[in-house]
Amino acid sequence: MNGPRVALAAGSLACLVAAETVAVAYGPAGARPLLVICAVLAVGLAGYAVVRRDGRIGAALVVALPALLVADPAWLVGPLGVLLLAAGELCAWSWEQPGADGSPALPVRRLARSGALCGAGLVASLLCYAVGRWHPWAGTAALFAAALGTAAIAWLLARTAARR
Amino acid sequence: MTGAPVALPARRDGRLVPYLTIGAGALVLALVTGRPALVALAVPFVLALGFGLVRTGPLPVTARLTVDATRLLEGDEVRGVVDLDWAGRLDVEVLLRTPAGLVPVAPARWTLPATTGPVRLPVVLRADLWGRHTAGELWVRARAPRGLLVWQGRVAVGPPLRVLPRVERLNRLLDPAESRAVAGVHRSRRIGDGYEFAELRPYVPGDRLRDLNWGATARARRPYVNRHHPELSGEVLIVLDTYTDGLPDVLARVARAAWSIASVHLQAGDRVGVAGLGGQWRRLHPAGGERAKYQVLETLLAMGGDAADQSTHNWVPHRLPVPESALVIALTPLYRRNVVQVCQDWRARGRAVAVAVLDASDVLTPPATEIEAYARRLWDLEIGRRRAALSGVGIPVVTVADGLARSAVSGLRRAGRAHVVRAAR
Repeated sequence: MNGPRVALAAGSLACLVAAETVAVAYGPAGARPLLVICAVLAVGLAGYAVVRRDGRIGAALVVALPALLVADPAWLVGPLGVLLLAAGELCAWSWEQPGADGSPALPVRRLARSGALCGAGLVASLLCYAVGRWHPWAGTAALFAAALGTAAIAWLLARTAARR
Repeated sequence: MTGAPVALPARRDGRLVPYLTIGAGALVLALVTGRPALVALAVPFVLALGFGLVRTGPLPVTARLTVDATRLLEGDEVRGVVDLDWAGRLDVEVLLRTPAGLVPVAPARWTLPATTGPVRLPVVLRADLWGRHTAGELWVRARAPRGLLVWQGRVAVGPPLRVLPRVERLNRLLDPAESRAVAGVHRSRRIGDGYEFAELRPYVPGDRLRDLNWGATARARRPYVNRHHPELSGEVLIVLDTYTDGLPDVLARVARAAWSIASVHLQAGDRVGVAGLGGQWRRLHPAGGERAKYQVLETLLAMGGDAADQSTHNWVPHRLPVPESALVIALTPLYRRNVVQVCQDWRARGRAVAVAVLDASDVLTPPATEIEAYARRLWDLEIGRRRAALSGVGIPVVTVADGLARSAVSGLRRAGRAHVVRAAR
């Protein structure tokens, strides 16, 4: 592992650890032992993913979700989700780095693109929450958006499957 | 750019499924539980999916690898160009995978961030191993900026290169076992017209007067005539043991020695054949002349290509038919026990066999531990035992290192079992 790859892998782990720590700290006290178990499992899977198999990062992100879902205050859920997204991006870019014999340069362009994506995700997430929180039709609007999003994803999957 | 485009299929990135799971899962959960906050969790992932799947479907890539020479000598460098073209702005990685005998002088891996085609990339390759190789395979991996799909695959194969082994000059020739009845440079066992003295015998009517040996005649008080060996050509079968246990240097030495011996014997008018042990079945019957030289070279190159391709490397327990009159010169590192048995069989059937054992100890890494040192000593003893098994049946054996062809000949001469009668031209 060359320097940039180690740095990217460490960044990925750090994002996941930060998201889980905050989520567990702000989660309900009664469910904390269960959340800690999930968090530890997620960090373990992420560690395995950055060292051995990049495919495991998906499992790490999914296992990390329960702690995020019950985080309180609710506005934290969006930013914590962005941290998970950043963890996934950094893990992927760490695996894209060539080995020790390759160029030891950081993939600056890719990092910049991922940073922009995470920034846009954070803004959109907070906006979505804000609209949902302060608009008179708060819950209805958000749930309407959720239904639309689900339908869009379903359409995307069907289109991809049809092309194959 | 010529050449048909190769359509690379899209494969999903490792992030696609997790993002899809989290995004869709959070949205469905928001609908089921009626919690709007969960939509905020799904939004970044849905955004990533939206950007990442903008471009789908196969990616057509046109690629070509050209080189400025297709015939090289070992150690030569060849320059080439990779031409690539694709549609749209993509992050592209290009890898040139070369066969074992070709080594890229500069890194043969390029990263082209957010680039549109066409691009042209310079390539420099060094021929390290003789044989017939392709100039390499061109692999491409592309992804759209922020994309969650990857297009990857082989897009082009380079032209075939013929890498010729370096030629060493031999000063002397090994003497074939039995001469053929055509004029050549070797002394025949038979007696006839020639320049080299064979024996004295009493004069009989019909002998030429110019063959009278006046000194012997005066001493014996009766006429004696000189008799001479006629100069005839011979047959040489060079047998290459191409099993080198993954040491390409040994293979290169085998090739250089074989090519040197073959070219010198051909130059001397001999008929030279080549046969391989240890790889695929390849054999060239003894033949002479300029055409045979090219045939020998082609056979050697084919053997080199086989040997470099480890997947074809299995021992073929064939029985090589060896002409009765041919001298068999086996070039082997003796890594396989079967080679000893094959040479012993030839000897038992009355063939003249000489073995040059290629010493490759200098290309092995020195033993790092005591156990490795013991293992190396045991291996050396085993090689020595195999040499002794060959010597035991009357086969002259010499050990030769790099720069070996001449030492093979001189070693066999010293062994007193091969006669060298004439300097090579």
